[in-house]
Amino acid sequence: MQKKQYWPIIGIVALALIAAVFCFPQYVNSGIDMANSRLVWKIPHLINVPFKLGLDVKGGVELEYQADLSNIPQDQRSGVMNGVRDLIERRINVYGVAEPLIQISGINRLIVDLPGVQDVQQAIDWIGQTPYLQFSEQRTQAETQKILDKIKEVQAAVKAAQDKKTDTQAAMASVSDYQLAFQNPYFKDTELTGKYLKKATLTFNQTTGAPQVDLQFDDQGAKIFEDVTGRNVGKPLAIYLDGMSIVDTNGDGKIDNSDLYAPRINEKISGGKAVITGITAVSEAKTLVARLNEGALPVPLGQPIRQQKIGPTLGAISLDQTVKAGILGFLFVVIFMIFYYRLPGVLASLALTVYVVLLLALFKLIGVTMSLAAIGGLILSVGIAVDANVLIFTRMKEEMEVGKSFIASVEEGFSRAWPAIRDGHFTTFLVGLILFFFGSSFVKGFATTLDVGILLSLFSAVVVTHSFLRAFAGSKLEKVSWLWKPLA
Amino acid sequence: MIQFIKYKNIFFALTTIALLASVAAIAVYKLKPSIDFTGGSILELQYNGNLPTQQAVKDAIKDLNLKDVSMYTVGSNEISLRTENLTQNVHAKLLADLNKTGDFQEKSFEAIGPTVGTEIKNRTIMLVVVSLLAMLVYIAIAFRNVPGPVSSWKYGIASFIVLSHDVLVTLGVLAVLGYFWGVQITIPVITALLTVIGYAINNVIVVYDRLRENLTRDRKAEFGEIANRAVNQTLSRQINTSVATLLPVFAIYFLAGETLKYFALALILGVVAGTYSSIFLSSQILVVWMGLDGKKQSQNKAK
Repeated sequence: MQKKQYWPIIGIVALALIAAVFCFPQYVNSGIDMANSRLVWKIPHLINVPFKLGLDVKGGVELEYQADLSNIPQDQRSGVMNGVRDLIERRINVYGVAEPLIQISGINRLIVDLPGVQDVQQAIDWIGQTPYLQFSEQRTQAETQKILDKIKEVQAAVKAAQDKKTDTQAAMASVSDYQLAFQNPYFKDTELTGKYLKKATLTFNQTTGAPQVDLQFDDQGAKIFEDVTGRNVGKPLAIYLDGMSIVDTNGDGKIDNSDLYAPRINEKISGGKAVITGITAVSEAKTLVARLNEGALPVPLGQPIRQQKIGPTLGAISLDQTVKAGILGFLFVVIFMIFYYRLPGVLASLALTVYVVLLLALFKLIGVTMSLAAIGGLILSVGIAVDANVLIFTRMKEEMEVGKSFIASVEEGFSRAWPAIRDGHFTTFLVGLILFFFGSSFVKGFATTLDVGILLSLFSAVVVTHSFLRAFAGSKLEKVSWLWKPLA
Repeated sequence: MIQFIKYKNIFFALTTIALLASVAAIAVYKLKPSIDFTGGSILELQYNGNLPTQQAVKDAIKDLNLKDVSMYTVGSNEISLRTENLTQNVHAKLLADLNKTGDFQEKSFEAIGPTVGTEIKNRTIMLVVVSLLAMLVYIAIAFRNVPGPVSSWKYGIASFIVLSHDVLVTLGVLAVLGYFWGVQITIPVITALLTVIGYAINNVIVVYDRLRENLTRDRKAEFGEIANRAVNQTLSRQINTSVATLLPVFAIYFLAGETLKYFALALILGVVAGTYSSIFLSSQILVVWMGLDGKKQSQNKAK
């Protein structure tokens, strides 16, 4: 009976040691190095899985984009967003950024984390380069006229406001349906976009030898293409890339608003094949093919709605400061607990040490990103773990005061403290869950470590502290009452 | 035993004053939202030589006609510049113009569009309300078997009042700090506020749990007396846990960097408010409520 009670402790210590080695293998490895220098056979190094560090402690660029999903049916939106994420990920990987993180946030947001990158403009260019392919059909004359009239109306209103020196923005907004004036008067978008593009290839015209780009649509795209060409026989079909003509049609060496690539549709086209001609240089055709194949974005992203850059020194300083604060805070807690609760305080401090080591190992194991917010959550969860111990010790003291035996006081203290510990942990966990599901990325990082910490804190209080206390049952120390008596 | 229930009116008076002062502070001084909520840009610049004067910086960038420019120094060699939401082009021009003011490195840059700001604001308010209500419901369910004269949903509503008090007082102090020392409401501050809700509910639960236990054991004594005993019995836990939580939080406040500083500050305020309200407010509300019900019943009988 007596011996049996040591087994849980041996188990806990072994677990803590494994976790500690897993967390900080560098110390063991330097020990191995020292041993190797004197030994004949060499001991291999332990594998060092690094902590996943957040952007705010590593330095880098974070960009947030808002995709325009207005043309995508509700049920396809998440699929489309996943596509955009994969495409951007592929694009970033080309530039050799280490561990980029691209996440979808909410329904239409995309957060791009680029650790180690310092040039925001460059990062935006990388992402922005992914082209957006759009096929547009001619508007009816009535529609064209309507938009042209609206443009005149808006221009007149703006000019009048300028003459009167009043707010031109407001004057523009006062024209009914003023948004209409910002649309292309001659062409409107069809349902056919780069989303349906299977691949683009560079070919050469068999008679003239001029370079051309063949587009092959997927099955769905082929059907849409057939439909679009069928209803527009004899009319032009404009092809835009990122809102501009896909080809330099007037040959001035640049693609701008004066260019328009709109070949006439002679007949309904089945089979999902289109050919882009009129390209002058082979190199130009090659770039075009590369851009189209690297990924045509199914939805436009525009400029980032939020951007953040953290210099590498700032990140390192923040990490250093926060870790220092954490260690010092932990030491204060240990001193306070030992000062106030004496021997149980020492046991609680040991339990807390086991708790922190296990928590860090768990973070490494499940790959929790250690951002400043996450470290904040970690430090706070130590406070909650302490609370469980405080509750138990307070109850134990009460039981001892009414003259119960040591082991009875320990067991009674635990069962009495349990409802409060359970409810307290559960409610804080609940707040953590709410934060996790509705919060922004900073809040999410905090909530993750807080909730993982709370779950482990239950284990720490119920198993670790409990086993430590039980181990003293029947020992000599059990009888030394001042050791177990808190200050007040 | 300290008479926490007997002198409840004194505590209610103090609490009311604190609440009124907080509401007044929020109404008069207003909470100072950071660019997380309003949209805008922050640049942090580290100079290699002497820091330029405010005027020098303003002169250097006046051609860009930026809105809402404010600037303050951080430490001995850094300035933090706030302005409207900058596009990448304007950002590049701004850096070029600032080169006139000395040799510097851009330590960090952040730009947030106005739509993100509004969205975050709405979502935050929802988060706070949802958390408070979730706590109310949880307590009402967890205490459904509570014996004695007060029903479990009253425990739920009383804890809702206590938590709202903690959040309001924290916000009130932040409004004062914002007005006089420029403390801003950032995302980390909001996170701290939500954590305060989770922390304060712990305190309330400890008191109510003890009350529940006492009610089960002692069916004869008066409710107020039992409540007073519960507060006394849990007093050392409330104080010790607060101290143990505040120690690391103070370490964060003094040692960790700018991001977590205000997070820690909001936590400190919330923990203090939460400890106060769990001792001086949580059970007192129940006692008063029971008293009101008792009066109603006796009036009904008299009729």
